[in-house]
Amino acid sequence: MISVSERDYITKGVDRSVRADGRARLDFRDLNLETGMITQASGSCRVTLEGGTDVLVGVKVEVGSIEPDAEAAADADDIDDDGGARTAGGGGPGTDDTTGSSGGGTHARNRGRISCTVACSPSATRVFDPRDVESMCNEYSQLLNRVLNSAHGGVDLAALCIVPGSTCWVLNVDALVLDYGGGLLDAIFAATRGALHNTRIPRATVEQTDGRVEFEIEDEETEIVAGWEDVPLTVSMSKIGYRHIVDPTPLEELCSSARLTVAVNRRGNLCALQKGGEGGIEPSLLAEMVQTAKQLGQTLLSRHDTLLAAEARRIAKGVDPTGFR
Amino acid sequence: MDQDDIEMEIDGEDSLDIHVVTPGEVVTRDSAFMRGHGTYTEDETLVASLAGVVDRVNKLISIKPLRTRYNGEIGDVVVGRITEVAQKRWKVDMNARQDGVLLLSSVNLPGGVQRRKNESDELQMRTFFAEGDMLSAEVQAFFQDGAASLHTRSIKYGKLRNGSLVTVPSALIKRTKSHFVTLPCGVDVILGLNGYIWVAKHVPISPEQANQPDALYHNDNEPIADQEREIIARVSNTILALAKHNNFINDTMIVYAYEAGSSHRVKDILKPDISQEIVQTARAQFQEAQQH
Amino acid sequence: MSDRKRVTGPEKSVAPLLETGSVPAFIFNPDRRHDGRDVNHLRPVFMKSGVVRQANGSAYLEAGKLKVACAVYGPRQNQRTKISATKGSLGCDFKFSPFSGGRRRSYMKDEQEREYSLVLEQALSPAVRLDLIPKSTVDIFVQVLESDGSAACLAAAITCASLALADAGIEMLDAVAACSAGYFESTVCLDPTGEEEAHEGGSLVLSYMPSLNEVTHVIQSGETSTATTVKALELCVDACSQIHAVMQQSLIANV
Repeated sequence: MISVSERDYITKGVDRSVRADGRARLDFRDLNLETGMITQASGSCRVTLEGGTDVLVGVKVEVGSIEPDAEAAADADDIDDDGGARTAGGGGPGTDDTTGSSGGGTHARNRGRISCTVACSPSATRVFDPRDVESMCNEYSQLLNRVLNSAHGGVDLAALCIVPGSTCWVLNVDALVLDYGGGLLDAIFAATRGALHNTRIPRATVEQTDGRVEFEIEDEETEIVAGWEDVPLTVSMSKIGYRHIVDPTPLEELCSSARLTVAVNRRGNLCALQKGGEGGIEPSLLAEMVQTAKQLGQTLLSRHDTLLAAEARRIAKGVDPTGFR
Repeated sequence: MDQDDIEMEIDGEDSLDIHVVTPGEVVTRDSAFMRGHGTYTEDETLVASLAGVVDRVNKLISIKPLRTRYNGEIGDVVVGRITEVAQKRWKVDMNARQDGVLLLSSVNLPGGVQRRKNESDELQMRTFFAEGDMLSAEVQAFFQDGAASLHTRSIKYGKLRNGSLVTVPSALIKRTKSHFVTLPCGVDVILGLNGYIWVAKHVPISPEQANQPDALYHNDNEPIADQEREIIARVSNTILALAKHNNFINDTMIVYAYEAGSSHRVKDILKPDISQEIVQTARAQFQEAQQH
Repeated sequence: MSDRKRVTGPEKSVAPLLETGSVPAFIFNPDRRHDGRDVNHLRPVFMKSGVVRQANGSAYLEAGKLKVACAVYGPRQNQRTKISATKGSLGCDFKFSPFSGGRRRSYMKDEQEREYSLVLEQALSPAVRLDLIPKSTVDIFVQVLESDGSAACLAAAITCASLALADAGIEMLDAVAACSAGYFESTVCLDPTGEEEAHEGGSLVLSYMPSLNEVTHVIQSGETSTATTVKALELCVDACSQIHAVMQQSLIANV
C-alpha cells in the first residue's frame, strides 16, 4: 500500500536519479553471501541484502532414473516426469529438451536433471496476500527451471548422467524466502549459483558385468558440479515513470508498472528474458534495458565470483560459517 | 521459583542496578507492592509475565518489555497509513496490536472547523483520505476493545506529503515535548511514537489553509530540488542506522548522527562499519553534552 | 512359492514407442522450412469471434495445425473478499486439452499451465481499461484444442483472448497481438512449429499493442547474444503489427 504523494515522490526521485535511500538508478545494495551452513544438504547458500531480503537455497542430490521414453525429441512441448514427484522443468516457451543447435548434442537419455522450487516461508509473507505469494513462487520456480534445466543453463547436465538411458543424478534446488525486502528474484539466482558452487556430488563408479550395468556410490569422494560458473545471474529492472531502476525496495516495487528480468551469463549471453508486472514497455526502451542488463550482469557476476572465492578460502581454512547467529 | 527475590527498598531509594526478568520469574515476595503492567500475583508473590526491565515507581512495580508492539496512550502523536475506508470512519495502520480508528467526526473538513458533517461528506470520504494515504494524528481515546481513536483536529496534523516513511521499532522513540521537529539542515521530521517516522521537505504551514477546501487534502507534492532530496535520503538513512544499533531516536541524536555521517556518501551510511562509526560518534557527543 | 496360475507382468510398464519407419534427421534450412515458409513468415491464420454463445465474448484461432478457443465472462461481480474499490481485476485460465499434444495431459493444471495463465494476465492487463469496472472481474478461459509448438500456443492464446475481449465489448486501449520466434544459432525464425521447436536453441514470445507502441509482455528462454535478442524483438514487433491487422479485419467482419 502506498499513498499518491509517496508514489509521486519516488517517481520524481527516480527521474532525478536520487532514490529514497540515496542510491542512483543503477546502484545495487550490498550483498552478503555465505555458503555451506546447512550440513545435511549437498550444498547450500544464503544471500542477504541490506534492506532485509533474505534467501536460503539448499541443494539435495539424489539418484534418479531416466525415463525410458524421455528421449522423444518430436513431442517436445510436453515432457511430464512420471517417475519424479515434480515436473522437472515444465518448460516455458519452447522446450527444455533442446538438442542444441549443432545437431547431435545430448539427448535426454544421457543427461541428469535439475528440479527447482521456490517457496516463501510464512515469516516473509506478512507483506503479501497468500494467493499472490503462490503465483509469485510458481513464476519464479518456472523461471529457475527454464534457465537451469536446459542445455544452455550452465550446469553440464551430461556430466550428471550415471548410466546412460537408465540412471542419473537429480539436483533438487529448493529456494526458501525467509524475509522480503525487495529484489527477490536477483537474490534467488545469486543464492542458487552460490549453492551450486558449494554442492558436492558423491562419486559414482559404473561397472559392466555380464551385460548388466551396476553402479556404486562412494560417499567419501565428491565432485563439484561441472559448469557452475556458467550459471547465469539475473538483473531485474523495474520501470518507474519513464525510467528504470535496479534492486528495488518494497515501496519502489509498489510504484513500478513493469519489471524486466534478464539472465546474463559469464560469456555475456542472455539466458532468459521475462517481463512481469501489469504495465507495458516501449520496444526501444526494451532494447535499451536489455543492453543495460547485459553490462550490469557482467559486473554482478564478477562481484559474485569474488565473494564465492572468499567463501572457498574460508571453507578451506576450516572456519565455521556465521550461519544464523 | 527457588531464585532469590530481588531486593527492594521500600522507602524510595532507587537502586542503580537494572534488573532484567523473564516470564515466570518472581519479582518480589513482599505484598506491600502494587502490581503494574507486566506482572501477576500468585499467592502472595509478584511474578513477571513479560521479559523486560523492572520499573519501580514508589510502590508500583511494572515490567517494561525489551521490545513490544506499540501500546498507545492518550495524547500520543502517531503516524499511520489508511488501510480501509468504512462508513463514517477510516481504519489506520499504526504498527500496533489493532488498527487505529479515525472517525469522520474527528477530522477537519474543508469549509471551516465548525461545519456539521452532512451526508455528502460520508459519500465523499475518499476525497479526504483514501486507502494508502499517510497521515499524522493524535490519540484521542480508546475504544473498549483496545483500538485507539485518533483525531486530526489541529492544523499540524493531517495528510503527509513531500517525503518518505522510515520504520523503526517503537520502543526507540521516547515521549518528548514536541514530535514535530525541523532539523537545521532544512528537513521536517515527524517522530511518531508508534515507530513510523515521516521525513519530508520543510513546508511552512499557514493558518489560512485550514479554511481552503483543497489545501488540506490535496495529494500534490511541492517541487523538491535534488539537493533537498539528498538531504531527506541522508536523514532517513541516519535514522535507520540509529535504529539498527538500538539507539533511541530524538531530534538531538539525529542531528549528531547527521553531522557524524556528513563526510560519507548517502548510500554508504547503511553499510555496517560506517553506520557503527556514525552511531558511536553521535553517542559520545550526546554523553558529552549530558555532562555539561 | 511362486504362483503358477498367474503370469505376473513387468512391474513398470511404459507406453510403446511407435517407430514409423526411419525418420530422416531434421535439418533446419532457413531458406526452405518444412512447410515452405520463409524465416520471416507467419503461418496463415484464421480467426473467428462469437463462437461460444453462452459466453459474453469468445474467439477461435487456427494457425497451421494449432487450434485455440477462448471464452470471456464478464465484467461480473467479484466474489473475492479482498477487492479494490477503484479498479477491476482480470482472472485468466489457460489449459491444454488432454488430447492436444503428443503425450496426454492430465486434467489437473500443471506448473506450465499455471505459469501461462499468469503470462496471459500480465500480457492483457495493460490493455484492458480496468479502471472503468471497479469491483468487477473479467474471467478469461483459454483452451488449447490442438497444440503445435508451445510457444506458438501461448502467443495464439494471447491473441485469441484479445479478440474475445473485444467481442465481449470490454473497453480496451488496444488489441494485443502476440507472436513467437525461435532461435537457430544466430538466425531468428518466426512462428516455429512443434517440429521446429524441438530443435531450436531458444524461443521468444512477445505481445505488443501497435497503437500505443508498447510491449505488454516478453518471455525468452535459451542462450543468445544480445544482438540476436534485439533483432528478434524488432522482428516480433513487426510481425505483431501484421497479426493486429488480421485481428481488425476479423472483428469488423464479425460485427
